Amino acid sequence: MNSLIKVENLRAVYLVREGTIKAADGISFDVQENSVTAIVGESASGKSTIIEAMTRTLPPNGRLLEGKVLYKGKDLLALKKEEFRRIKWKEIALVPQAAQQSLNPTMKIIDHFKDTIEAHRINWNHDQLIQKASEKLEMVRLNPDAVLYSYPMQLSGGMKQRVLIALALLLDPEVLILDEPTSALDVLTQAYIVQLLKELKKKLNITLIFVTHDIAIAAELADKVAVIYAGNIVEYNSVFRIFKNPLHPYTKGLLGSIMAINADMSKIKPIPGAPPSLLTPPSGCRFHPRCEHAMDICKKEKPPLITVEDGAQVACHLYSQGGRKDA
Amino acid sequence: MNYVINRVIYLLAVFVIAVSGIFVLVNNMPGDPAYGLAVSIAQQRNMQIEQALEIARSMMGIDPDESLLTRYGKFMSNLLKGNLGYSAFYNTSVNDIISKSLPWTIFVISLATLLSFVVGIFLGALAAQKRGTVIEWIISTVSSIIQAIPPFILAVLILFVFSVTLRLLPLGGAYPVDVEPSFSFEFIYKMFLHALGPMLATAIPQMASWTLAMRGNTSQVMEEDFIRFAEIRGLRDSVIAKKYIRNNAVLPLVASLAIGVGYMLGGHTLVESIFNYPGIGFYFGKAIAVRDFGLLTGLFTLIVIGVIAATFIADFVYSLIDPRVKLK
Repeated sequence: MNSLIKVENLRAVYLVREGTIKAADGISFDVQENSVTAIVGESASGKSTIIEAMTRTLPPNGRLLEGKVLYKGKDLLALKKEEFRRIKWKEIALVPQAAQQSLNPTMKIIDHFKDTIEAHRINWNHDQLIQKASEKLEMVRLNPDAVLYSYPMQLSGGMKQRVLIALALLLDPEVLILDEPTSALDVLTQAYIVQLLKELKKKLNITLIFVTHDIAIAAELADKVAVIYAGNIVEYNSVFRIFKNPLHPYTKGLLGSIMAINADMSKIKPIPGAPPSLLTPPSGCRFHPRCEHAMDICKKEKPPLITVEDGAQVACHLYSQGGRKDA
Repeated sequence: MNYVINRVIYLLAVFVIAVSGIFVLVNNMPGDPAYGLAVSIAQQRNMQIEQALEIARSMMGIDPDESLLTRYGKFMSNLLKGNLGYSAFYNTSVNDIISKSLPWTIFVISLATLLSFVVGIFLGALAAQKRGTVIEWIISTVSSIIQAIPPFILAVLILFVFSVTLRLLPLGGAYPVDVEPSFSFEFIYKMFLHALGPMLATAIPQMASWTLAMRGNTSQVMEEDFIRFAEIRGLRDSVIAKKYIRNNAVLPLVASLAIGVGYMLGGHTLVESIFNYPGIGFYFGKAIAVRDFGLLTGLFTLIVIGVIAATFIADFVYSLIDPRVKLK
């Protein structure tokens, strides 16, 4: 398997009145073709920033400081605006967070499809457009006859989310990036969307990257999981190993804090402390104030993301300094 | 359809309440409506004021012994017949005065509204889209200042600068006294020239408020997630500006547009008086000055009808252009 997308040392900040929020601080990871990658982290850990920076959709106060996003050998971040506009959506489609407000309230769904193909100068006639749009809507199990001529307010939250996915699939992209595809939906709809994404993955030749705060959804859907803590990737591993043998103390804590319905409540261990402010992140390893294995070096030096056994990657001094691997 | 019927019933109720309120207010105003006329009769005919008052009252059709309720009944039944009352000062029916003056007011108001709305929308959208630039700063600052100027101050200013000092515009009236109304080019040109002063005095402050409202709406819409998603899909800026931003930002303003026109029927008084422009507002000012209570009541009623009709039209138009309203 080849890596389709290679993110190298991505650094992005947000400028706010209080200073700069260091939301993505040297992010590097590879995405294999036809794989599903989950970017998992708490709220405000900078996980959405990563995909915003990758797709050049940072908000106006966002700044990309450095980094490369190599897609088929081209650096997406270095492309001219017009060149990037052509790749965007045709090859890499992005479904943003806040699906509930992402459709123009005064336009029918069909017109959203129409605007999208017109933006990419695709010469489908009306019938072709209807046929293509219907095909994609059916793929996300919506009834095209009802949905195409509806206004967004006539659709439920889950339907809107699926319309966005159908819109994203319209030009048969190779990569589909989803930002929190299941947040703001009820649990049943969440399960439905996850099921749907699994089906799409099976049916289509597509690479999925998605961001979530819900590690259960990552477990359900992903091949590989990148765990983000305070703007850094702390662990990048296959989904199987992440759950079977997590390496980073934060990953362990994250898994330890999951509440299963039949779990023994006494075994649930929340991670002590609170996530740091990204305005003034801790020195060295950003997790050290909350880490039970913290050593002197953790306060001074930021641990690099290193590859350990079986291609698993972890950023922790426990591993780089030959420390206690069994911790 | 049910919605329309509900709306009509509601607005009829509003009409009856408003008109009754006007009737009670005007009839309880201090002073005798016949007094003004009586004074002039007493002077002309050299008679006692009590006698003159009786003559004046009979001329105006006022029976002092009539109860308020009887007068109210008469007033309402006249209203139902479409008769808005009688003007003692002009010695003619209010309907006559309205049919003579309303076209002028509508002419000026529609020109002023059209101009101010179109320019205001354009400037407001421009200001919002050039956020943080000198253009935005200039548009916003100038609009805020202009918006604070009352139309009648502007009217005096325009009259002084363009009519008195520069002599570019006529001093007053709706058309020159020495020209017969006709469909000739000259007459229409003169008519526009006469309307220009009152029109600008009304349009300029309004333009400023449309600009500020549109700027506010536009910057709000620009923050919406559907704008971001349109950008992500690779839509061109021009398409986003028009179909996604402007169309959504302008919607709430269309409703205020219709209602604003209704209110302007009454709010135009001082401007028309200053320009001596023979519209509704001019007669309104006159009716207050000479205590012509019949004319006052009639014109008040007209304004109520105007505002109610405008509200109805606004509701209706809104349901046509905003899919979210139509479906409720």
